Amino acid sequence: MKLLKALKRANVTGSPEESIAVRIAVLVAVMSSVFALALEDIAGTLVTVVAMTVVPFGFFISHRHRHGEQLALKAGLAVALLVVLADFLGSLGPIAGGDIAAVQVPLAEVFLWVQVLHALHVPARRDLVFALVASGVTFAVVGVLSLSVAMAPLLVVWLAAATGALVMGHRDDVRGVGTFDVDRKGSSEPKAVGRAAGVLVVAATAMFLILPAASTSRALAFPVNLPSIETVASPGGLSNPSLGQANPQLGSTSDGSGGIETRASFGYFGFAQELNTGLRGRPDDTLMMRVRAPGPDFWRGQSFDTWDGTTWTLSSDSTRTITGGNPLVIPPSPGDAPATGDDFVATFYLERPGPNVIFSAARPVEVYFPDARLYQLRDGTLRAAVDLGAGAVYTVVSSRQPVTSDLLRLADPLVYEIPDDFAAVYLQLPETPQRVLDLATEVTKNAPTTYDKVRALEAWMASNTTYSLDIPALPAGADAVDHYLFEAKQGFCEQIGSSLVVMLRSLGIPARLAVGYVPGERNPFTGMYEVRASDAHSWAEVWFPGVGWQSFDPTAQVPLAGESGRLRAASGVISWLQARLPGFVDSGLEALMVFGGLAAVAGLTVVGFRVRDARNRRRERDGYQQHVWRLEAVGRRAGLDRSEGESVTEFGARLAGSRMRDPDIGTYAHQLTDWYFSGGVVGDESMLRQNVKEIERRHRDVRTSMTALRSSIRG
Amino acid sequence: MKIRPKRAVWLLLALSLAMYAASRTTGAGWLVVLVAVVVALVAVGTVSPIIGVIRTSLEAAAPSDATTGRPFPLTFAVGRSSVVVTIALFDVEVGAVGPVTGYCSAVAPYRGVWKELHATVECGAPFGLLKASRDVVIPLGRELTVAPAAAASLNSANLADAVDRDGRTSRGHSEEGTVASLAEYRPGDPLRRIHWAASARHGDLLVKQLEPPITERLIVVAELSGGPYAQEEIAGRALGIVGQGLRAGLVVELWTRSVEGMDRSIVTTSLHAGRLLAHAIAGRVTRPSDESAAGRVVTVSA
Repeated sequence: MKLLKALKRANVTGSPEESIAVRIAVLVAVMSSVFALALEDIAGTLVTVVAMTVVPFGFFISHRHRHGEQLALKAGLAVALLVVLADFLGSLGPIAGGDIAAVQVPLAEVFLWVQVLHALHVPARRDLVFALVASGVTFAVVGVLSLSVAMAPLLVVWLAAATGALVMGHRDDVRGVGTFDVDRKGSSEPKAVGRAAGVLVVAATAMFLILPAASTSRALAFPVNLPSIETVASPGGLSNPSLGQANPQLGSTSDGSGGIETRASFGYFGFAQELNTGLRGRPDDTLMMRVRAPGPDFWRGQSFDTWDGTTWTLSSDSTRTITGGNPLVIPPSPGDAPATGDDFVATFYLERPGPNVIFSAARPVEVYFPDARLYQLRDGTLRAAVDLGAGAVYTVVSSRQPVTSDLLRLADPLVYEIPDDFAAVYLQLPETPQRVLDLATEVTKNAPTTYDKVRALEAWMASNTTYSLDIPALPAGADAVDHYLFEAKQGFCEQIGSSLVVMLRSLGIPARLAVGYVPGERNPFTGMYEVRASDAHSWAEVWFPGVGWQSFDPTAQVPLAGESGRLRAASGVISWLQARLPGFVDSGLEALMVFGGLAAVAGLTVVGFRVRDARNRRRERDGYQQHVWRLEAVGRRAGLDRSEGESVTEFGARLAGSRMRDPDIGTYAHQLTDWYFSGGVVGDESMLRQNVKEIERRHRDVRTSMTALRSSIRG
Repeated sequence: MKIRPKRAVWLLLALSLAMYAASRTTGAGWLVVLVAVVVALVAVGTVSPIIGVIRTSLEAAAPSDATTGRPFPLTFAVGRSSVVVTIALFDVEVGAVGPVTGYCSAVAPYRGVWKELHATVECGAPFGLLKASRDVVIPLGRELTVAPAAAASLNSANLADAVDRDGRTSRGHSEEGTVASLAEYRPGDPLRRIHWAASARHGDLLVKQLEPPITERLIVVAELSGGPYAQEEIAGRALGIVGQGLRAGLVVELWTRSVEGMDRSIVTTSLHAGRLLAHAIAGRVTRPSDESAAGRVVTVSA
């Protein structure tokens, strides 16, 4: 019985919500979350269609029957919810290993069903608030799965609707207290909602600016996906369908003069068996992949260790097969430091077919991949056994040493004895023009450590050469590095990276050329790095004993792992807006000025309204004072001055009872006091103005008439 | 100031904490956006009411006179926030979606003079997630005088006797006074003063020479004592007697004790008497020394 009573208590229907506006606002919020799910194609079609039709119907029915108990409906909904829950738990069965990614979609469907079923019975405010919170949770589920900003407009709609529902609901509650006959209404509903939404947006923006960026943890299993399984032609070999006919391996693609290719493509020639620095595709801004990572890094694809003066190749393309379950454990490669660094989890969502290389931050230790097999090359880079098409998803956990410049200065390869086999590969140089070698020595003569030598060379190139994709053709037989440093003095990443590697090797420092992508633009809302074809890049990797391979590039803004600082959620928001508002803001400073200007305009508008309000209040007050002056003037004309401390009412009564014999003066004074001290509630100022005008007219000549009367009596 | 957060605040904070934890494990940037929105919602929803209740300006206006136990209009001008104003003493609780001006009905539980009102202002704007309240003193534009509710307690027969002794019905009495003598008519004398019977006997027009009417004085001595309710009851009875006396056409004096000392006033209206009784305080009131000379004396005390 006690349980029954408790159940009854818990199910007592709250006060019915009478406000249609609040109900509609909540409905809009709920529907925006349903649309967000549909937009991201997360839930099934059936449940989405059902939600889109049943939720509005449910809200309508709930409003119609908001005063009823509807016990049968409640019981039916409870049973339906249990069925949904059971179905959800049943769907979790096949999901092994706590794979959170696999849980997300069934979870989203559960929330959608909850929204649908709950919408059928939302008679009271608390039911509507629950629906509002549930829609917020639904957005959270969508937010976890969303890779783009497509849901942003719906989130704005949700925010506006939720704000409106809360503000209007609260105002209704306040209005419902006592009986307050309002003569002068306060701010209108839209104004109040708009003001609250404005404050909320400002506060949310401020909060967004200070919150740390999202990050990933290895505590969870990560999403993996392979839309189609098509094995590559040769196991462990390289396949790059994105190059198509532009693949330099397929034949001559240059103009025969050794010039630079300008073929527009989203493929990158670097993802091939060799890298000819005389060739350069012109990758466009095609979105290649999205990377969810806690910070920026180079997304390495592969590396080259052998240089012949124009082309980079791999000294060995033998591979090691890595098999196992999820995750695949990646063994170290020659030169790698022990995997004792911090976990750096990067999930790659491919948007375009690309090479079968597995991109990662250095140094990968685990890979979550839908295929049970990977190939590892001698340099530690990974290749899939299958082609990686659009929609492929994998996660790589890297072990990143918290490298700082001080640490790199201590770990100097020049003071260590480098093994011969390692040196044979990574100190390899062809016959190199002497002036290149001399330049390396000259530039680094004052640099005490390897790290300082690297930085000195980078600085020299930054000062003495320019970055350009439009460089003169490489003359036949010329050394690419020599031509870049001394003849053309302009080049792009291949020339810059190759020059750095060659000069470092000439100094006895192990180095190699890596290819892959720079981090790309960080989307501050999704927290993902959007990597485009034009982000394809090559850079130098320098070996430091105990640290492993460290990336260096004078053209990319990728900080050392130990010096990257804590990433904020809003990092890159200005540049992101700049890119999407072309012509509107061209620089961070300009953006600041624009936003500052907008803030100033908004501030001035607020000040303007305040000044107007103050003036109106002053006018109101002055209006009263003018009435008093006019009354006093009427009295003075009759020879009656208002005494000190005499109230207006008392003065009016005195005038009325004086020889003026006009009871209207007393009435007017009384009405004037009532009007002013009631804040304008009692009485009407325009009527008072008419009254005082009439009194003035009536007694305009009072003194004259009294004098005339006295004269006639005397006469 | 009192602050009472609603359960929704804890629910939203728990939700934002869960979303933050999820953002730190899944790497989903949208969750950070949602956390920022929810935390901002909580921040605005909890800070705004506190600011609102501090910055809310309240003005009130009351009529100059009211009566105990009877409703009177109370006008409020509320600035800025949406607030609930409670004046427990006057049984007032109004919700104002501000800035707004309006009026409500108030009831004073006892007589007295109020120059200010003690109210509680509660604010939850804009979302109603938290209720902040504080006590405020609202000065009144003009003071509110609450008179006691008149109670009919004097035996009406006594007053009737007094009226009879007044001699209104005696010979020679007119509504304008008693006829003292007759005089010859002069132009300008009112025609209705002509004593037609005497004129007929005398042969010339004679007019009545009148003395002012003699009216008996009623002295009401209101001596308040005891607790507030007892004082209220005494004041009410005194006002009732004054009212009866005035209705009977007597000259009524009301003797009370106020903070300034003894107050002996001839009252012409119940309103006047009510005001005097509103100011009356407990204490001994000196009786008239010679009752026969002073008039009829009614002492109202515990």
